[in-house]
Amino acid sequence: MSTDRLAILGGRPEYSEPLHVGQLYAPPWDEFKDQFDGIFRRRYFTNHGPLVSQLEKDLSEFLNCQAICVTNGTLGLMVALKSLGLSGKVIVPSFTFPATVQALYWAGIEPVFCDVDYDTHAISAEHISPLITEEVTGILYVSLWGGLADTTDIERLAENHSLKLLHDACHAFAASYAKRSSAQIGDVSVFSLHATKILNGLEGGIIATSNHEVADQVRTIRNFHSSHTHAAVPLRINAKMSEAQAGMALLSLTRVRKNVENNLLQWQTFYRNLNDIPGIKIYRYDEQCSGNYQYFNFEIDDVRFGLTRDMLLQCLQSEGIAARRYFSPGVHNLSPYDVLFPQYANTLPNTDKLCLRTLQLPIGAMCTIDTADRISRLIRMAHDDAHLVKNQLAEMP
Amino acid sequence: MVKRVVSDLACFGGKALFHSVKPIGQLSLPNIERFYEISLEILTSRRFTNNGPVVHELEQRLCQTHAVEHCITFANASVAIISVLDTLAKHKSGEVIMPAFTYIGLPHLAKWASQTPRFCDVDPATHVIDPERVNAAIGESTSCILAVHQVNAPCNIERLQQIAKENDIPLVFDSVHAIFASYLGKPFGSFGACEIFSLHATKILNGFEGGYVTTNDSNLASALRTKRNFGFTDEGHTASIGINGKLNEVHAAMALACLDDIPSILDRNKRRVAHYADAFANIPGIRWVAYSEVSMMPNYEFALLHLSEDWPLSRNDVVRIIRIENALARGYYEHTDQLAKYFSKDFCAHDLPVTCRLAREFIQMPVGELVSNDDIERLAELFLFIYRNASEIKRRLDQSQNVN
Repeated sequence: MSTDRLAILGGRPEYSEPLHVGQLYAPPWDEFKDQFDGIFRRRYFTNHGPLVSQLEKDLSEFLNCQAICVTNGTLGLMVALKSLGLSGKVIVPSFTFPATVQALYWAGIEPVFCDVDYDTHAISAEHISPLITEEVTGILYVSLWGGLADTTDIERLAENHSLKLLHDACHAFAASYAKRSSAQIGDVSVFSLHATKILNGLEGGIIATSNHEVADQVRTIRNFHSSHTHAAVPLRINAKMSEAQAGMALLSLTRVRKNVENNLLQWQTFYRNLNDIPGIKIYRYDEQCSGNYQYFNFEIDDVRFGLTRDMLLQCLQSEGIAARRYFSPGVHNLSPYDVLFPQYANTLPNTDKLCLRTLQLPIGAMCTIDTADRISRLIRMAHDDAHLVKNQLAEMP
Repeated sequence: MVKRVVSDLACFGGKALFHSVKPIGQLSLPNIERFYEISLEILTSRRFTNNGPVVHELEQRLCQTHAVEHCITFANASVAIISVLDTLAKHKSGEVIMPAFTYIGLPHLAKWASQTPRFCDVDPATHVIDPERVNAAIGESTSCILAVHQVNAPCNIERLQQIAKENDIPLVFDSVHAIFASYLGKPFGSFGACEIFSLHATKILNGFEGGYVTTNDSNLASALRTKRNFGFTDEGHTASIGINGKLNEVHAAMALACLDDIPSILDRNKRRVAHYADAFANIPGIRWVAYSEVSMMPNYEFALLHLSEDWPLSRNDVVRIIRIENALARGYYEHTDQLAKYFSKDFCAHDLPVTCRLAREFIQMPVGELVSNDDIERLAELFLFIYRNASEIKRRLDQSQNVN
């Protein structure tokens, strides 16, 4: 039942249980049970078992390159950085999930924060070029929101300066640009199989590469097994994916296409409902991009919309809608980076502006077209009643 | 198949003794009904990870089991150790004092946390790190003492604690092989600044992959909780450089569904170790690493076999032979020389005479739920066969090596 009054203005909340941002697609119970019955029958629980092998095989076909599974996306980035032999400094956006930059720390690398292009939300050759110095050994490029931008300029730039290009594709499984898969950008791409992503392995990560030497390095770095010591590697870690994770991911992989279609229906509903509201700018993929639509991301211009992004967020939260501010603030403003690298304060204008204005709405298994309609209606009400909401918020402690 | 002549050995083309492999890990099954009960709830609620209710319940249960205030689970013990070392070093590079006669990964983990491993030799009888060598190794840049309990013996806890206190250096125990054992009647889990355990499937508590830290230090506990979740204190705020160290809910469900069976696992382990001793009693030149049962109640996780110096075949030859029979034994902590490859600047075999000797001595025999009394008896027969036919085996091994 929809109310005629926003909860923040005294109406009944739209949802009694919070609705979260995140894909959270799950397999049917009987398939889950079959998968785990098999694991218990084999008593093969981890250490590159048959399900991980199967998953790696299926993913290699899906991504058209070598796919190596790991514990999670962050460990995937750490292993990938070591496999490329990166050291010194690496250029990275600040407009990203903290794990992107934190992975550099664990690999012993200093970040060089780069501003993003305001429209693509990704770092561009134009922003990267001036940051290249002797100490820079690579670029850590991040694709956001389930899409992929045109990366040809960046790939050329990396090649011209003999820089390694690592692609944080944690959002970008099943995405492509001009028919080129997200796994084929740069030297290595890393995907996340976190439950909130399109491919659900509970937690999990994929390191994808077409370079056989790098693949060998990755396979050796991700474990301490003596049978995998063929490549001379700088450092090793336990980053093994378990059979439980692989079992989940295999069940999820068969549904990726279907779930992308489901996402798209929800995304389009939001788009239709919200696109004409003043002060709302919806993030859209480039025409040549085929994305997974796992995020509905939009920007609020407070002057035209009537409320700031944070005010709208408060409205939605009081309705039981756990919309998210990815990413606020940018990593360069997070502790301890703000203290370690104070030189970046106020030097990344696009990042700072996006961090203040963007918001993500729930899309995925917990949602339907109806959910998208109801949330859209609340956002429109917030716009229509902006002055009331503003007054109400001003009175709140 | 039973060996009658030397050519029956699988390494010479015979059929393997075991149809299916006999591993060296616990590999226990959960209470399957309980596992599915929890899993159904996970799938229904769609709460798959991010420190959900199952992780929370597991942590509470482990606090009780270890008689400790805080338990912080991790994706695996590697990530737990990296997080602990980084937290204790306060983001500064330094040295971690550790043994080399242990898990091959340990020094790597120090490196990930920007720490240099500083190896100390071990006691020849108990195989645990020698406290006086630890004391001597402490210097300006020491960030932490990482002591490892052995399955057969605990570290000299009192002396290490004294040294740590005198020098104001945190003492951490890698207690992976002391899980569910106790020291002077007190379960492992609350000694030192913290202790680290593993939930890897080959360990006594099976969570597929996983690890956890136990501590009575609430500041450390809170720092680790933050660190395992990207350093977030709340949305939009981080307190430190974090990592994804989260244990997912299905792995936690597995550990929970295995937890009730621990007393009977320990009981089975004890019997298995005793059966090895009985079955091998009539084979000359064999002894077993004894469990120190005076101060410690052990978990009997491993069966560690020692061949006398005059045994007719080398440790490595024996391991190679029985592995081909599908008994996946291995040289116990045999990798000490490999450490040199990674840590050449810091490693000198000359400094670790006991470690280097021990690394050549023991065979870690198949154990765990997949090894029955019958299997142990067949292994004993195999060893006796190898012993009696050693000269011919050796001759043929040498021949095949020459061919290669």
